[in-house]
Amino acid sequence: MQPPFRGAAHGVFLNMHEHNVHEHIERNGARVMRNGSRAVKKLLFLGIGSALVFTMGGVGPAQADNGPHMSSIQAAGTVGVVIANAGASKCASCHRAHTAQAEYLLKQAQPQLCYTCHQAGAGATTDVVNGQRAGTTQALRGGGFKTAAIGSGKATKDMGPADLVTGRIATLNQTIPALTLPAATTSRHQIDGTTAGTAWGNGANGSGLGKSITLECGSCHDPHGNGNYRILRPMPNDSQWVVKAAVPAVGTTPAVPAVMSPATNVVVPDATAYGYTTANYWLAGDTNVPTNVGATGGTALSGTAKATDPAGDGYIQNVASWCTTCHTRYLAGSGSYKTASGDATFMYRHRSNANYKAGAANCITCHVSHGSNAAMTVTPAGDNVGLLPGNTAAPAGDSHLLRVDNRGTCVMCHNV
Amino acid sequence: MNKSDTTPPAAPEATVSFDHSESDAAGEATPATMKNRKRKIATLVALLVILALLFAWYLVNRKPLSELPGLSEARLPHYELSIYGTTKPLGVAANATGDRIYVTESDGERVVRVYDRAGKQTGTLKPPSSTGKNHLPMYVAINPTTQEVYVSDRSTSAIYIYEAKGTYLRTFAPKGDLGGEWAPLGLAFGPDGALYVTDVRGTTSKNHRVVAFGPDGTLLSSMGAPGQLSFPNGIVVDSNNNIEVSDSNNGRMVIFSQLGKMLSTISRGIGEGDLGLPRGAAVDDAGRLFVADTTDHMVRVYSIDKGKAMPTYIGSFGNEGQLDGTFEYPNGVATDKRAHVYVTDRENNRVQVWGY
Repeated sequence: MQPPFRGAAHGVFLNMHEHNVHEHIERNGARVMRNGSRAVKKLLFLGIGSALVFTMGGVGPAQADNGPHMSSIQAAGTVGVVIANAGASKCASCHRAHTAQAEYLLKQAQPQLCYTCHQAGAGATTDVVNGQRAGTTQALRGGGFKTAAIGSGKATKDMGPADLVTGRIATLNQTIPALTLPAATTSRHQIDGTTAGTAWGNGANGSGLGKSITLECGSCHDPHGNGNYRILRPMPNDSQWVVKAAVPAVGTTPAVPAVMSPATNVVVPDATAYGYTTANYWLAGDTNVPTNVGATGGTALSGTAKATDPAGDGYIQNVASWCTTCHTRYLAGSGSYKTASGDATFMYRHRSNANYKAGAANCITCHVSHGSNAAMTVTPAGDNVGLLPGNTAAPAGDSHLLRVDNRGTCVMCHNV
Repeated sequence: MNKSDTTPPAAPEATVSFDHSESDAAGEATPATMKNRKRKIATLVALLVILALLFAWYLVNRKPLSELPGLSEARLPHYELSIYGTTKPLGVAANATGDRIYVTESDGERVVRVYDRAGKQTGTLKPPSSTGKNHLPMYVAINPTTQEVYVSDRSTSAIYIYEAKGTYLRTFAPKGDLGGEWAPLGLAFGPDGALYVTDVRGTTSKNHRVVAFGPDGTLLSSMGAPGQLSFPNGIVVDSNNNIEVSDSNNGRMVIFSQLGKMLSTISRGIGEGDLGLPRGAAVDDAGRLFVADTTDHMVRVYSIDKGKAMPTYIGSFGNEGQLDGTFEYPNGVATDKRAHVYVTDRENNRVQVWGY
């Protein structure tokens, strides 16, 4: 199981934990039966530094998404923060300094810890397991891990007049309605913390199909809260951008991780209001996200610049950059469909860095992030359509997080 | 010795001494003896009466002698058994005798399962199809005046009411203006049948509250100022008639008066009796409060002292694990009148029964 605080976030975690002010909370021994006369626990002094500095692109270090994921740090530069008011006791809800049962000092492994709130809705409105807003029949934008409410078999579009000059037929009013009764997912980001998957396209040209990784909720989301949309980590754990330093031998100094720079982090700016649901799964963008937040910086190893489309809103502008920190060779600009990348597998690629509002494609134009219930039943025997060359791991019926049955996503835009 | 003398020698006289103190010359018992005997008989009768009373008390209550009224309640229960056959159970309720145990499950079939005291499933509670196809039962409570079973449903934002053996009766229809939508979660009854519901309405927690209804469903009051509560879950009415609420995402128990005034809190923290993520709550008739601390994987026990709003911490039971007597994310807790405590052990897919 991969630790939840890898990469830049890990470095920041180390920074916060060891190089700035620390917070240690200890308990004595195992607990089977307690009584009021137990030995007194010792609390070590700790302060909280403001070590979480990200390239915010104009967005201050505000805290995202409410609830227990908001840290108590209000703003950089605040002085005299009273520790007792800065959420000191919150740490003990999830962490143990000396008796942790999961990596990175978590009391418990993910995702069960996260499901305590994010399934069934006893502690959150977002039921990510069932793909609905708790207490309603409203569908979550990212789908769900066990079930999703994507009307993948009910997608429709209107077709406009043919342009005889360009030969194109306009497509309009694409709709993928939400379901009121979720259906079982046919693909998902596997976040159980134990099942290894493949980060397809991860790595430089010629590096194979992708890196093997084990994902958890904390791979993509920062449960401590940050200024990003959906508290996404600026650099997802296990992305290609960070090489975890090996534990040094006694008497040696640790190797510096290969790339850990704020310049490679991706800002996906936070929304001005939180809207988690959608009635139309074709409208992937979030109009609550501020526009024109500027360039993200950094360059993908494949040599393709990160998405900087200024015409898009901030979320659309940067989400492809964010997704392709893991799925590196999927980041493709205009003309990639006819220009060889130099990679044997990912040779010609559909554009993925555009502002879909202008009619071009972005990662989330076609895919959802958590899980999809789209059906994939039309797979001719022996035809590896949808499977990467040499990939035999994808199970039959895997929908690859697509939004429409049987690769109908293509037809949402293209007239065939 | 003269051979002609054949008379055997007289046997020596046996010496018998008589205690003449208990009887007079005529053999009758003396007054002192009578008094002594009466005392002994009275003592014996008193002992028999006490034994009979204890036996009668046991027959009625089926509780161990350690639960006798007047004895200290500041003790922790011991593990007895586990009930399996449920998937991700959350809420639990038991009738007074413990021979009907209702368990809500949040995965699998998502029904309410009914078990007997041996852990054998005897039925299920399911709302009719007219109420929709997607259900998620969360918490369950038994009306003490009617024995009807109330179940909150997170998917449909409703409370379904069943008769004790499982027949669906109706959907709870509040009388009064709830101020828009509501999302009922935790349930509790007062001794008079008043219903208290934790309401987690809205996309944020700023409008979370506790709503009180009369026995006929009339809205009486609302507790919790805007932003005060964050995902309140378990709720109980204690022996002081105060309302104790698991203010779950704030990591504390909040104690309200009947008028909705916040009296005290059991706070989040790492000290003795502090909480991490409290969820279900229950009280027993010995004046104990039980709170399932989900992320600490144990149940906290407090005593509710007469006239005092702040409960006194007794101790905790359980620990993280899969073995008997350990928990993986305990959520709901309930008691019966026979000194049993029931705890839903979510990730271990079972209900644990503890007792005194």
